[in-house]
Amino acid sequence: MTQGGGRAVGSARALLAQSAPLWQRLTAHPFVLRAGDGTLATEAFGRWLVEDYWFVVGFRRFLAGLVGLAPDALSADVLAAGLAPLQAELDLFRREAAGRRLDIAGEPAPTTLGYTSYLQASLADGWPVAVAVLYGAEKAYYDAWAAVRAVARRASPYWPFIDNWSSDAFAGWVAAVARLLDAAAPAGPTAAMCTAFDRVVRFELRFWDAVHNGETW
Amino acid sequence: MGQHGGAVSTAEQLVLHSAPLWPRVLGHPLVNAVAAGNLDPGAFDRWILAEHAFSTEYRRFIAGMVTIAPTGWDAEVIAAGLAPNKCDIDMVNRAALRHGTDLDIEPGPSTIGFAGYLQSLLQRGYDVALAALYSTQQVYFDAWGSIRDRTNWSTPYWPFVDTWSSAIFGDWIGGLCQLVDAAAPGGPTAPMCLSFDRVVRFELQFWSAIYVGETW
Repeated sequence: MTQGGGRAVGSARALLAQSAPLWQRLTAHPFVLRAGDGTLATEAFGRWLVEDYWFVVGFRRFLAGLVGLAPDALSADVLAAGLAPLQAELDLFRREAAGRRLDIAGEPAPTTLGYTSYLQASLADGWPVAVAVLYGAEKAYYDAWAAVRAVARRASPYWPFIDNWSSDAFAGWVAAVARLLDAAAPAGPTAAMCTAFDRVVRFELRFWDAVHNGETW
Repeated sequence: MGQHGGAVSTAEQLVLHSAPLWPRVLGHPLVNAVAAGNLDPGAFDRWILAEHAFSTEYRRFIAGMVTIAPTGWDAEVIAAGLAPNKCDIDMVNRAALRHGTDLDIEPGPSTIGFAGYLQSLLQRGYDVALAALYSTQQVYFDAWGSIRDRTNWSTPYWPFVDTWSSAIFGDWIGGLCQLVDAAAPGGPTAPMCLSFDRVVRFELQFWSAIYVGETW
């Protein structure tokens, strides 16, 4: 089994196996499929831009906190390398939102806020759990967009996003996180890691539901 | 007039800022159903489960607040909430036992998201997290206090309503108000207003998820 361009072993593979039923829902989610074939509604794309912007804002806090939790300098190097691409993503969201006259500075939807809050809260559960959470979030994105990459139209307005999260560079990052995860739990994932990983995948699905269908609070 | 006879206090300003949400708090279907004594057994089951998960995580938030409290007085007031929180957990456990609720079931996304939001605020500074702590308590006190006099004591929900509308609970909130006022004597900052407001909206979502049910 390959993942993110690398080889999944140990805890990363065990976590994927236990969440397999959810993984099928990820790669077959209507939002992903419609973005892939270019039939995603304009309104849904607008919601995606705004909510993914807010997601990355919260995710950056989480990733920075994880750098602080890293048990050694090499692990911190890997994680810190993930921070720079986030700036490019935020810039992309801002540009696209400005071009569509979307208010990106408004309030995030409850699912987005709940999801990013959960990521940040996981830092208090310690390194192995938090790195499992990071892997869940990144692996979900990579696998979903990689699943539609081959059929996605390059001329589609959604292509830059699909390309970004199914790229070899992103795959390499996900594989590096998998290696950190395997090293964090060499004997296999703990129950707390399994719960956290599973929750992230379900938050991801819920995030896409909210973007696809709209959500208020 | 403020609660101490002067200008409007910071705590009062926070409530005023989120005043448009308060009719939704006081008129929420879950609150009304509890008052009428006709809450669906399935909803009560979800309430017990969600409250158990939330209270357990909420304890970590309160404890985290104690660790970032800027003065001994702040820490003392906030820490006084830990014992009642344990009583809440025990009360919910007893309700689960009586009602046959399985507490090992995974809580819903609204519960996890809400608890996660509180925990995440510990990294945003004391005053912002304090505004959120105050919000969680004020919403509960106002909602359950509004139906205390018309809730049947023989319903299985009465211990919940009684606890969260009690004078002791109100006293703790009064202490939190004083901390909020001291933390921001010039009035609430925009981030404090935001965290206070988000907590109210998370609370409404939490209740809606209990009342209607949610899956993920």
